[in-house]
Amino acid sequence: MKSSRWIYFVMFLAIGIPIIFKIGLPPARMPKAEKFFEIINSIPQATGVAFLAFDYGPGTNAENRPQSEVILEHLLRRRIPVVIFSLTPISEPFLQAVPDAVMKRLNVETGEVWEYGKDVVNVGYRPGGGLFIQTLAKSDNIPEFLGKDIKGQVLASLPLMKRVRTIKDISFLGEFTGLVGVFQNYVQYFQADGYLPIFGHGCTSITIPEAYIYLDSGQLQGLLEGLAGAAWYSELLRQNFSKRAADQALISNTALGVGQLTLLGLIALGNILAFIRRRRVVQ
Amino acid sequence: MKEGLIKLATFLAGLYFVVEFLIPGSWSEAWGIDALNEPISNGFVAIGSMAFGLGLINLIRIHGKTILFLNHRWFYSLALLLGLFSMITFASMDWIANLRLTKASDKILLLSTFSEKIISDVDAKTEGVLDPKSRTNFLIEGWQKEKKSFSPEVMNVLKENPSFQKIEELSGKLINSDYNPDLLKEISPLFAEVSTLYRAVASKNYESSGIKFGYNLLNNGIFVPLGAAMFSLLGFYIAGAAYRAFHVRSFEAFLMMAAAVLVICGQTTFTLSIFTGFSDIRAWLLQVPNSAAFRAITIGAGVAGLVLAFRMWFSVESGVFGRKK
Repeated sequence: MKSSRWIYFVMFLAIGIPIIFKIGLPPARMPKAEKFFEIINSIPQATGVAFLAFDYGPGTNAENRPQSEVILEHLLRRRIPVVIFSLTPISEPFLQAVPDAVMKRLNVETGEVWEYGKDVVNVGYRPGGGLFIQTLAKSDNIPEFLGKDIKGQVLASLPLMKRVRTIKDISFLGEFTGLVGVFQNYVQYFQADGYLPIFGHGCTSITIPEAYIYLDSGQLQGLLEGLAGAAWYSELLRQNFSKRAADQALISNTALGVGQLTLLGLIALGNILAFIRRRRVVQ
Repeated sequence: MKEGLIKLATFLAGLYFVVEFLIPGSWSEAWGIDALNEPISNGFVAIGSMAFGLGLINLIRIHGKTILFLNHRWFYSLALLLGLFSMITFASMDWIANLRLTKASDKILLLSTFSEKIISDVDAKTEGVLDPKSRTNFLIEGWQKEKKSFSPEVMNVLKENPSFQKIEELSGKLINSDYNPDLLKEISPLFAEVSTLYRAVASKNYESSGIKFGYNLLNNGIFVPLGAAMFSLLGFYIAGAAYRAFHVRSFEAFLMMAAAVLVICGQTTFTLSIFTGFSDIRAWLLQVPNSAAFRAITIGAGVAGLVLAFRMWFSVESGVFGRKK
């Protein structure tokens, strides 16, 4: 069998075994995720409203979906109402599926009820990219600007939206994406009259280096670094809410860790074999 | 002439954004520029929507021709257009169904608003409106008309609800009595409750409909897994390429490899259990050398983007309209 097929087979085993046998090992400690956790804990419950942007599609779903789930879960546990939207049309399947899954899981665990319209509102995909963000930030009446939700209900009539008028009523903005060029729109434009909501970002592993510069400059306050960040956040939720069961993030993170180490092993093997070949040629 | 007009439009459009972004907020409000922001943004969204239409027409034209003349690999074009039209069909039908549902729910909510309006108009002695008894009759007729539009499945559920039953009871009393503000005050919030309940029941009913099944099949059953699968293949290609090509032949290559290994070790449980310091090394690598390099790249890209933007604003960039004859 060709070497590439062996490599694919080894990678398949490395990633597949933890997923198939549901092996979820304790995740690595991620200080940035811990800081993000404290930030969400500090949002005032009485007046806080969070806006979450799910700007990811099926391609980065494996990393961004666990991130959006843990943050949404934490906000809902604290009874901070959440408005969900997206700047990309490919995110549409997740805008309702994620809050539905989280609310159902919380209901099974706690017996409490979270309602659409009161705790969560899905505003859907909004075209315009940076222009939309700019206009939203400058709007004097955000419910009127946004118009209707994904179900066609007038936003101004929903209890949650009565708490939001301008950007100054938005305590927290969370953005989850693996796409290039989307995150910067929020950094640049999601502010008005000197007011900046707390900004948390969930990125894929590839875009971590890009996010760090904004974290360092203080433009970003919280960061979930890929799946590892989501896994550690999930672990923090388990430590703080004892009845919470382990979720898929731990299993996926284990698979990812094994896959990465396998990749390192393959690279080392390739280098050793290349070195041996070179020596033979020289001899 | 056409070229000049395009260059002028480009310049004016760019000028608006430059002025709007750079001038102080108070000047922007005083000159009325702030008020233009929303309509102009909506205009750009409309232009962007036209691009969707253009793309759609182009796709149909190219692939339609391939299918019609049975050109090379026409079946792939057929698969593309079938997928395209089926998704458009189910998504449109889903959207229309949701709109109908919302419209029906809003009509019930309107009854709540109307009952409050009857009371407020009487209290304020508003002129030019019908007498409150006639308006109350219209309210009850409206409710009866809405009830007829409910599907049997929805009706069966609503009939068991106490708020619905109370509305029926109060409707009977309102029809048979003179203007009664107390009854109207009592019925108003009940209409709002039933509106929310109707939406919940009808939505749940709709979830088991054929349209929703088709939409979910295409979206969640095909689009999402296929997208994830396409992206997942990259992992395997990278593994194969890494084995073949990531050979350390120079000091720089060694530095890059060492950095990659240390970063991976800093976020994997297995390696952290061997040496916990990997986490701090990873943090240092990302915060110091990586951030420095990325800042340089971002500033460079930003300056290049600014230069390109100026060239496009002043139509210096050669393109179809700037081509010299």
